[in-house]
Amino acid sequence: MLTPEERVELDEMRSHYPTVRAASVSVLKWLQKHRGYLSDESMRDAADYLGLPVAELDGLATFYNLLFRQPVGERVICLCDSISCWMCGSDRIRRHIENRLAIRMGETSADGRFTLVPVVCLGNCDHAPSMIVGDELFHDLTPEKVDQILGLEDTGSHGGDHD
Amino acid sequence: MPKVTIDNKTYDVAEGRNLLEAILDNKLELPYFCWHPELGSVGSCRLCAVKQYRDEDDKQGRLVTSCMMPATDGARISIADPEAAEFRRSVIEWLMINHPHDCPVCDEGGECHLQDMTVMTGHAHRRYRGRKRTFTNQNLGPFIHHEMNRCIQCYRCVRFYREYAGGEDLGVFASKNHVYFGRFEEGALELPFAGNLVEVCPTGVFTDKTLHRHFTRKWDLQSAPSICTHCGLGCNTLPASRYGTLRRVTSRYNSEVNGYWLCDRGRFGYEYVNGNDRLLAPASRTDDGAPDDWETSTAAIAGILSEARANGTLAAVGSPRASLESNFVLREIVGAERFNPGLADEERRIVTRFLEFLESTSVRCASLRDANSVDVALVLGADVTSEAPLLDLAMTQACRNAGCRLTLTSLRRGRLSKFAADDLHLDPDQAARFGAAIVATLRGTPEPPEALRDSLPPGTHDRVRDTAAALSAARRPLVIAGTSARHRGVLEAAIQVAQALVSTSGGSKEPLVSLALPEPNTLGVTMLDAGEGPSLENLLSAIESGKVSTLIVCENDLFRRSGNPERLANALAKLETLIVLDQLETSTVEGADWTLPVAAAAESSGTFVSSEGRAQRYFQVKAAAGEARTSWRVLRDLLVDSQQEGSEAALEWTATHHVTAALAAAHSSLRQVVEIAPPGDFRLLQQRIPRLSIRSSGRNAMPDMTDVRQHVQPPEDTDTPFAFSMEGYQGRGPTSLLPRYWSPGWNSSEAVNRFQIEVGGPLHGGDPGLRLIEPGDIRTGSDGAGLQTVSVAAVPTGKLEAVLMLCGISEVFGSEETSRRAPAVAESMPPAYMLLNPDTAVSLGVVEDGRYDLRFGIDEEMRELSLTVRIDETLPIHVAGLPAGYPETAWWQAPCWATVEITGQVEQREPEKEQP
Repeated sequence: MLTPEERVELDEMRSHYPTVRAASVSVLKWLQKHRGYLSDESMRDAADYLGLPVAELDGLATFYNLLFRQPVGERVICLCDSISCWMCGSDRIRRHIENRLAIRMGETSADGRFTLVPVVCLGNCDHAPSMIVGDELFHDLTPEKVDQILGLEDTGSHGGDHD
Repeated sequence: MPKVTIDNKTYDVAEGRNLLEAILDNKLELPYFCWHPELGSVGSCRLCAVKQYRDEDDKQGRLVTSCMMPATDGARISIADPEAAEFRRSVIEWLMINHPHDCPVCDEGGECHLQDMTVMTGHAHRRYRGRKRTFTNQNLGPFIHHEMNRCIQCYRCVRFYREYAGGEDLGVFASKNHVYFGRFEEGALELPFAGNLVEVCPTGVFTDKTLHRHFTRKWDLQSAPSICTHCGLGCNTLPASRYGTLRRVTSRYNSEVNGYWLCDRGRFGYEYVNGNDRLLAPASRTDDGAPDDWETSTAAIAGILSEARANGTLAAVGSPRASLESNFVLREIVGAERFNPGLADEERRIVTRFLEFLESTSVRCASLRDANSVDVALVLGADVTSEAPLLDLAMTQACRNAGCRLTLTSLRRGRLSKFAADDLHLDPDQAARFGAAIVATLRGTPEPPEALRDSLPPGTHDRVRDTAAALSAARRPLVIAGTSARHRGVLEAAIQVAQALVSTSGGSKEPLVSLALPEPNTLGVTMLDAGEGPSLENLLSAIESGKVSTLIVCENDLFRRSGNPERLANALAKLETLIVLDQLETSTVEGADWTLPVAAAAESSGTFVSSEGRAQRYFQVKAAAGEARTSWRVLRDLLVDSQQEGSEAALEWTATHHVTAALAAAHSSLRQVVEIAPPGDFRLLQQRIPRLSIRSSGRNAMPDMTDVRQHVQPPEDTDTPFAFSMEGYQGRGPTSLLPRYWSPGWNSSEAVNRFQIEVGGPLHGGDPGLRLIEPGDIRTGSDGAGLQTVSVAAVPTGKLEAVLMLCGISEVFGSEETSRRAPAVAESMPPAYMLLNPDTAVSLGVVEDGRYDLRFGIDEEMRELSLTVRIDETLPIHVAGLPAGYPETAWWQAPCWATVEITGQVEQREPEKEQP
């Protein structure tokens, strides 16, 4: 159920769009921002609010990389898996992150701090490999730089890069 | 007419076709997936790629997606071009990367468009060695089986479900390699046309779950053309059987009627034919020790009949779900003045009035194809979705494509409401007044009489004005009424609206009418009866007074017709002899002295007249269950054996077409029914048409433990030109005799494109069936009839808890008599309920889903029963909705005012555990 306060804010956002369909992605993003991810309940709330079939909204939610239909960690690492980053060693970065956080691609670390997901080209190919963490874009990644970005410098000795 | 050069040969093409259609229209072969004549082109699969050349000098050409390119005059293309052929082969190879190699265990195997297209493109070797993506399937309810791994992402399913049919709960999820077609969460698909996914899906993602339980490959199915019996629209079907059980029903293409589609009631209601409650052998209640076989039964009953006829105490009730032939022979036994057509009296009055109107007007009775393209439609007091499901799909097309302006007046919000410009929730009385008010407005009486206005909810007047204005401006308006409301006024209003449109437009309009009828032969039996027979009320009185003491009932459960079960039961008990012919155990059968098992439509041949007035022939698909026989044959034997005067002619009736000819000769309104299909002795090159496919396997295998000869003789069949065999005429017969759609290289239902003149258009040789009633050139009619309205009884007075109008709620699944006996449909039926507006519920002190003991008082009579309360905020506040056609509500027929008291609450039991 949407709270009256949530409704007020959504109404404001809705007013910027000519149709409910146009507003739907923004409504989903807003709900995700405030609720962490898009649960089935959030999807139904959005469908009720917009008056659209929930199946149609879920089509959007599952289409876009940056809309999460499952719980995610505090910081979501979106590592580019497109061709330029791959050529410049994104696999190595992926393995490094996976080992450091003891998770696989698509998983959340046990402490709930990080989730690692792939993302398509970020348009940052001249500085490959790239990733987004939270809202911030990082580029020219190296294992050391990744540790620094994720604040993992002091946990150094275990894990590490094995390739 | 544009000329298109395809592989250096020039072909004529109809205007407005795309290249793919041009190719298929000319019966050339080109593979395709995502294009469908009714769903259009989206160009997503790229399988229909061809080379297109600028002109004669262009030797290079370029690959184009043929379904996206118009077939313009002078276009030059090549299908055979090696680059195009290689491209198409590659498309299939890409799709095959993820498609499982599970054809042997896939229900689609053998009639799979993907298999056909794979073969057509020549992709034969799989090079891909990697892992395939896999999905979790969903339980989509009792009708449809889901197997997502087989998906090739053509999007046909969502395009049909969402865009074409307006469904909301099937979606497409995720992206790229993970595209998933399904529901937001597991659960039954909500659309009552979901079964069409089975045919729309080019592979085995959506398959028929009822077929799955008794699966048979297409090539082993025995089939013949038939007509759906689960409403009055007369959709063409292809039921298919094997080893004595009906296995499935698929749609039989008819461009005038159902096109490619069927509703789920029609597609999945067939299983009653296989049911355990089928009557299998003649039975008598008399304890004379004689065996109840056909010979002794027929002889005994014939004796009873001749005696009763001599005494003048014989009468008969026919049936709107029995063929014209059966009704005709029954009527011959007892005579016109003693034959009741087997409709509830009010329904019979409605249908008779409708027929009178059609025979004396220039208004055309709409076919489903007509309804697809109307520009304004008015629905009066009908729930189109449940009363005539495919008419709902046709209206959906009118609203989507033809910009149809729709006014709905039904009890509550329904599936079509989202397309409606005006969606009014009125009781049948009000709907009739609404129609009358429109008539007044159309005729230039701007202010409808106060009596009319006052009885309609506030604000309705504007809706009257808008609807009337739209109807006046329309080119092809359609007025639809229903019979399930059991309200004459509704039809009367619909007729007058249509009439007013004719007379006020000076003939510039082509108004259409449609009356949704609940059963396959309602119109036919009413035409046969021509209003000559006694009403059910008079018949009951005659039984009560002893004037009738022997009654034959053919394929009819009188308890669905009478509205007073106690009185009916007493009357039937008073009869000396009650003879009932039917397929299933019914309340009427329970009281019968003689029960004679008769064949279902799929087990017999005959003629139905659909609600459009279209006479259509259906043919026997399989041998009848047990000892059941075709009704008309049983009745003919009784007619002959009871040695009725004039029954000598009946001696000659040895095949259905003899009876058809006799009834056509006897009834001028039905004289054309002999023309609709060839007779049973029709042969092509002296051969019958095989019901089994040429590839039928294992025809001798079933008994080969004991005997390897084909020792099971196929049943004798004088009624149809079909053979119970794979042998016979292998060419293409008349369209009314197409037992399947199959063509070399085209094993799936897409093969129908090989049978159409133009893809998506009429069949070669014309669509089967014949309209018996065409509009005359009559421009007058009952013009001055004015604003008749027919009201239901006055509000009762006295000590009252609450007074509500009881109205029938028609259910897609549950209201129709035979389909509700099919397990998959039974699973989809809501349990019996009382539907209330939330405010009404509050004032009665009941809550949703609570089960209550209720006492209904109608005219001094009290009825007590327990029902679950359901809530619908769109239902008028003064209405209590009860499900129509449920045994629980058989005591009540037409809308009426009743007192409703809550006498107690039923303890809610723990919800029953689902059977594993």
